[in-house]
This record gives sequence, structure tokens and C-alpha cells, in this order.
Amino acid sequence: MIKPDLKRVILQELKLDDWPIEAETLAAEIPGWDSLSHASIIFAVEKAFGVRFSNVEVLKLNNLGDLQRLLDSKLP
Amino acid sequence: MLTMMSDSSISSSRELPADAKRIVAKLVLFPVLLYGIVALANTVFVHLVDWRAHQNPNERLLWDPDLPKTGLVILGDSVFASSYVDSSNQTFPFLLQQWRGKKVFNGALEGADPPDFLNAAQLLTSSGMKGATVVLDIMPNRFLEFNQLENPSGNQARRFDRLLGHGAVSSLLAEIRRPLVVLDPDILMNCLIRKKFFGVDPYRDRVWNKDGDLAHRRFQVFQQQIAFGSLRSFAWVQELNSLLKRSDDKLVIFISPVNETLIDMYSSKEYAARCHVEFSRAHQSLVSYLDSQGIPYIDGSNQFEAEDFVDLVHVNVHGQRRIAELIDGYVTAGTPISASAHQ
Amino acid sequence: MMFVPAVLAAYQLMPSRWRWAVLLSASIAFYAALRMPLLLVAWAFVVLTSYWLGRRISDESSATRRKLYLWAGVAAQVAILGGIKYLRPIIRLIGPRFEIPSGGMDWFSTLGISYYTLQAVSYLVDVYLRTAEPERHFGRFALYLGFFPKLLQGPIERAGDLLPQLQSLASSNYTNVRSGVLLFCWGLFKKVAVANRLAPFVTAVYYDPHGYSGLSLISATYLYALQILADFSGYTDMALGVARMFNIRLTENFNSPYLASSIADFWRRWHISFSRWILDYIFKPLQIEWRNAGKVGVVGALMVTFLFSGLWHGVALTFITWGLLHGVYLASSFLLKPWKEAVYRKIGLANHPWRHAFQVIVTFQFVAFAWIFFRARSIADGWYIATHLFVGAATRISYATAVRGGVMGAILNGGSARDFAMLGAAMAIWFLGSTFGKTVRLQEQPIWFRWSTYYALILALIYLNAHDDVGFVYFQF
Repeated sequence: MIKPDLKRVILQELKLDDWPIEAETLAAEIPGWDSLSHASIIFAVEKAFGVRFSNVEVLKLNNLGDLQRLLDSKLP
Repeated sequence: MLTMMSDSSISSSRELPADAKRIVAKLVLFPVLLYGIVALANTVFVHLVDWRAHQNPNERLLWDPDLPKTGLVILGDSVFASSYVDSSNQTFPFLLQQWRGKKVFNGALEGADPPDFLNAAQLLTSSGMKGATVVLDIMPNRFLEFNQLENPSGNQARRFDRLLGHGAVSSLLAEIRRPLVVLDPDILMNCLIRKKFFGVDPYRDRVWNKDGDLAHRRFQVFQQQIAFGSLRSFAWVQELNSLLKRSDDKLVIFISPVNETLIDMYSSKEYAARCHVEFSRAHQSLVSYLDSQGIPYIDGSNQFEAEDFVDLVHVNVHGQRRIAELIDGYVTAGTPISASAHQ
Repeated sequence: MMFVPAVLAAYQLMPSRWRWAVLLSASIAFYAALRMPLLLVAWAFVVLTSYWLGRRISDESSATRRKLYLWAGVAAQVAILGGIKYLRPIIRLIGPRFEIPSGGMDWFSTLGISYYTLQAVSYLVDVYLRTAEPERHFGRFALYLGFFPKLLQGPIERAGDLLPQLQSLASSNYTNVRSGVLLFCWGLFKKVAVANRLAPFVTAVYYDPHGYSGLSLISATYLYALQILADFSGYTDMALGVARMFNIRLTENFNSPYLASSIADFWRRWHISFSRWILDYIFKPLQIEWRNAGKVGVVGALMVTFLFSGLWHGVALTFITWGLLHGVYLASSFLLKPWKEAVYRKIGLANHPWRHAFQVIVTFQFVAFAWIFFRARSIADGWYIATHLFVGAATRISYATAVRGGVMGAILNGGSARDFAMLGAAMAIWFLGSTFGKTVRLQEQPIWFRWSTYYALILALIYLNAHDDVGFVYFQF
């Protein structure tokens, strides 16, 4: 389950109006999200929610669901 | 092809087809059918096209599947390859064939070196040559040292390797492949463009001092490369002799002449004098060696006129005739012709 | 020549439990047959260290310890890789008088080392990140690193791809052996008929670029682009084909790289196992580490990644230049992305049906230009070629070239028209095979179709193969 606020941050960073983002969605399926923009999206998420992920945690992300879970674990 | 073959997924769970006999039958039929098709194409090609006429006679040993089984066989380098004529019936093997009424095979190769001679003998003996008389030319200056190193495998190593194979399997494949001339792209190409090999510059009848500066330029290169001093080893001659003896073939050496007049004309007095001495030395050493090994020879030194030459060592149409006379004389008389007879 | 059938026979006869041993012994024998004992030792070292450290990383619970083991492992592999590659230059520096007895062996060859060290690093990192299970069976692990079809020039296999396959080595089946042989022969064709035939036309110019006109330099560069593709993809096909005979699928390394529509796309299609490696193990970590620095961070990560790529290919300024050039290409493309659409609109190609073709052609030019430095014998030569591509007059044209004149002469550069025609035939076959190979499912065609194709390939190999001593271009890495 991808929460709307995370989805909004992602869409904003990628300059997309809308795109279906589910838990199993892979980064590669979202237009504009490639290896070059990957870090900036992560950074945008971190800034928007005031959290900081460790490098290893980021490297282990496989899909959007992982990202949501990681984010949830960092939020108070 | 990559995707196609990779996404017919690796069927690891698929069993062998029930009929293993079918697989074996296919494995046998596959090469046999291929061979049949190629052999058929070859027969058609050989009958329809005068393919030998367009091939390089100076490399005949490397492409003609009809190798001599006996008789008179010529081996050697460019001296014997007979390039400086206007047509093939001016070459000495042709003349010999005409005079003697028996086949003469010219297996000399342009630019051949001792390893190539040995390979050539190997090829001939393993193709069933027995009781033949093999005449090999040796330029005395072959034993002088050169600044440029000889290729230890010879200059035609790759082609001989293809002809001889280098193991049980490849030798067998080479044997099978040899008569299939249609498989040789060079042969096909030459037929297609009707290649000519005689009478084509610079390979035509010419005299060294009356036809441009080819001879002079070549001599200059020779001067740069020659290094007077020690002599190279003669061992390969005995090795060749033994190889041929094992198949009852007889080796006869033809000591080819050197254009002394050219040396005098194109170099200083001192250099020319040095040259004559060194050539003489090499010649003498060669003769001694051949005598000591009991190898018969025809000494061509001083048997030629200056006009017989194209450059320092190669002869023209006139020279070809002379070579034919000398060899014919030897084969008829059965005794070596030596320089001393004419001194 | 008898090696693969012999191994295949042994593989079939062995019970499934021992098949790994057959393959491992074959691989060791294969590596040993190259007579480079130093490499065998290096390989053994890589196997031992990464095996042991892999288990430690997995079994250890302390996070700091795990990290320590990881870094130790990575350092060991880098040390081996760097040490072997730098060994020859170092020895030369220490003392040119040092004579190492060779006995027919090339003591300084680096065959294979660049590949399995990277593979070992990827294994250790994957175990660390827990995206792969460590292999506890030492024999299988050694095989994972040393499997002979991929030993010398890759592909670089991921633990998750290859290890599971080694767990269950099924007996060979007829279909896989057949398609494996076909793939092998196709790769062989690309190597001996296409790449080897292209080589002389390239070498003539690159050996002495100062003697050739700009047109010759351009021609030789394009031909080199084709040569290196044919050579390396040919080798890869041979490796994949042999592996397939043992029911093992290795990763695809090439996917029509010159049809790429951008440099980024090119790297998704060229030497895929390598570019994925540098992406996952150098670029991503660096990019994430530097994500605070925004665009600068990305550019930095790109440059470091491609500097590594250059160095990995060879310790020479030419390779480094080539690598950095690609880094610059990608960085520029990244930085200019916001304006890309606007530019396309300006030149009227925004929605044009030929836009894709245009992108492909332009991308190829950039790639070909970078190859100049990859191939040049020195950075000075590379610079000369790069700056003289459009300079006309040649300082030295051979008589034959002058006679043929003009464009043809500039392409042939002293080679024979006949050889070029045969090259053309080989390339036509390559093109046909690559295009139709993707759509025609050969295994599903009737037998007469299949056998005609096999025969055609065999005859093509017989007629068009070119002997030479070039060896495999990527062998030197």
C-alpha cells in the first residue's frame, strides 16, 4: 500500500501528473525514474519527510513497497 | 539469433527423445549428407571449369590435389618457381616434360625457406610419393647470414598446416578436404576473375640490365640485408634427405647460379671482390657438405650467361632452357654435373 | 577441439551429485593449459578468500564485523586485480635487468583475472546485502568463479543467476547441446569471418595514422566499431553456446548495441554484464552516498564509474580517455536533459517518425568517436586521429591506393578489393543472421530448413574464415 503523500512526492520529483504506483511497482516502470534520477528521488523523499536512510538500506530497495516500509520505519 | 536461441528456454527437465537411435542416425547422416553435396558440387565444378588454368602455377603444391606419386618432382624457391616467363610452356618443368615424355611436377614455391621445403617433402611423402627423384634448388647465398631473421616456421607455414593438419583429427580432415577444390575460396575467385599469372609485370621475360631498374633495386636491398661472416647451418639438407629416403625418394640438389656480372656492375671493386669471395666460400662449403653426406648435386655455377638472368639469382626464358638442359643431362647420364667440368 | 566433447561425455556419465566436479576439474585443466601458473595461483586466491569471507559475512551477526569482512574481501580482490595488472609495469620500473625465465609461458598475462575478481566482489556485496545466499559448497563455489566457458572473458555472473543453476546440474539433453553447438558456431563465425577480416583494414591505419587521410581515419574507425562488436559478441556467443551444452544459462552480454538511441541506452546493450556491474557496485553506491550534492553528486558518480571502466580495460591513457569520454557523454546528457525536448522541437524532430533513427545514428557517431581512443596505440595517436578526421590530404598513399583512388582507396588503405568483397559477404551474413535470428525460431522449423541453415553456416565458416594472430580483442583485459 503506497500512501498518497509518498506518491505525491515521487510524482512531483518526476514531474508526472499521475501514474499508478503500487507496492509491487518497480522503479523502472515509472517514466523518468532511471538510475540517474534514482538518488535525487530518494533525496527528495528524505527531505519531504525529514528522514535519513542509510546507504545500505537504499541499496536494498527492490520496489515501491520496500520504499514505503522503509519510510514508515523511520517515521516516529 | 541470440534472443531466439536464448528464449527457447533451456529445457532442463526435458528428457532425451524416446528414439535415441534417431539422434545417432541424424548425427551420422548430417556430415555424410554435407560431404555428398559438396562432393557433387566439386565434381560438377571440376568438369565444367578449366580451373587449373587460372591458378598460380608458382603455388601449385599448395592447391593441386593431384600430387605426384613418382617420377621427376621439382622443389624449391623462387629460383625454380619459374616466374619470369611469358607463358607456362617456357618453364623448365614443361620443357623437361616435353623432352622426356614423362610428367614433371613443379612444386617450387615463391619465397620458400628450408622449413617450407621440409613441409613440402612431408606433404608429398604422406600423399604417397615413392621412388621419385626430387630436384631442389639451393642458392649458395642461402647460407650467408641475413640481417632479417628467417621465420622459423617458414613463409607458408599456415598453408602447409592446413594441408597437413597438426594432429590425428585435423590431418584426417585435411585429407578429406584436399580433393574438394570447390571449397577453396581462392580457387573459385581466381576462376571468376580469370586470373593471369604469366606475362604480367614484373613476372615476364626480362634481362637484368636491359629492362628497367628492378635488378638494381633488388641488389640494393640485398646489400642492406646481407651480413658477411659466419655461414648458416646446412643441417636441414640432411634432414630433408632422410625424410625423402624413408619413402625411397632420391634427393638431388641443384646449386643455382649467381649473376656475377651484376655484382661487378652494381658495386664498388672492393665490395664486389668481397662478394665473390664470400659466395665462393658458401659454394665450397655447400659442395663439401653435400659430398660428405653423399647427396648428389648438379652444380649450376658458371653454367649460365649474364643474359640468362633477371636479377642476381632469378633466370628468364633463356635461363629456364638452360636449367632444363642441365637437369635433363643429369637424369639421362645419372651422374652429377659439377662446376669443375666447365672450369 | 576434443576438449568439450570429452567433458560433455564425462558430464553425462557422472551421477548428478558429481557433475560439478567434472566441470570444475575441466575448468582448472582449461586454465592450466594456458600455462600461466601465476594466474592459476591468483584464481585460487580469489576463490579461497571470497569463499571464506562470504561465509563469514553471512554468519556474522555484528554489523561492524560484517562490514569489515566485506571491505577486506573487496580490498583483497582489488589488490589481486591491480597487482596482476600492474605487475609488468612495476617489474619494469624496478629493474629492466630482471629476467624472468619464461619457458614458453606468459608470466604477465592477465587472462580472466579482470572478470572473476569483479564477480567475486559482486558475490561478496550481494551476500552482505543479503540479496544472495552464500555458497557453502566449496567445489560449487570454485566452479561458480571458474566455469571454463566464462573464465577468460566473462560474462560476469551474479550469484543469484549462476549459483542456483550449479545446484542442480541436469544431464545434457539433445536440444540444448544442439542449440549450444549452433550458438557456438555462430559466435565462431562472427569472430573468424567477420572480426578477423575487419582487422587488417583497421590495423593498416591505426598502426600509422599519420600516413592516412581523414577519410581513411573515419573508415578505419567505423570498421573498428564493427570489429570489436563482432569480436566480443562472437566470443560471448561461443561462451554461452558451450555453457548451454551443459544446461547452464549465462547472461546475455550484447543486445544490438549500435541500435541504441542514447549513450545510456548503449550501456544497457553493450557488455551488459560489465555495465550492470559498474552500475550496481560503483555508480549506485556512489550516487546514493553523494545524493546530498544533487546534480554534482550524480556527475561525480558517473565520472568515477567510467574512470574505473577505462582503467579496468587497460592501464593506459587511451583506455582512461575512452572511459572518461563516456562519462562526459552521460554527464552531459544528464545535465542537458531538461532542454532536450526543446532542442528537438527547434530542429523539427520532436514528433518526427525519423526521430528514433536520427538518435540511433547520432549515438553511434559518439560511440565510434570514443572507440578511436580505445583502439589507438597511444594517446598521441588517438589525439591525432580525433583532430584529423576531416583533414583531406594524405602524406603517403600507396601506389595501389592512388590507382583505385578516392573513396574506395580510403576505405581499402592498401588492402585488396577482393578481401573487402569477402568481408562484405561475411558482414551480410552477420546482418542477416542477427536480424532474422531474432524472429525465426530455428528450433521450430522443419528439418530441411534447419539443416540448410546449419550447412550454410558451416560453408560460410569454410569459405569466409580468415586466419590471423589477432586473438580475441577482449582477451587482454
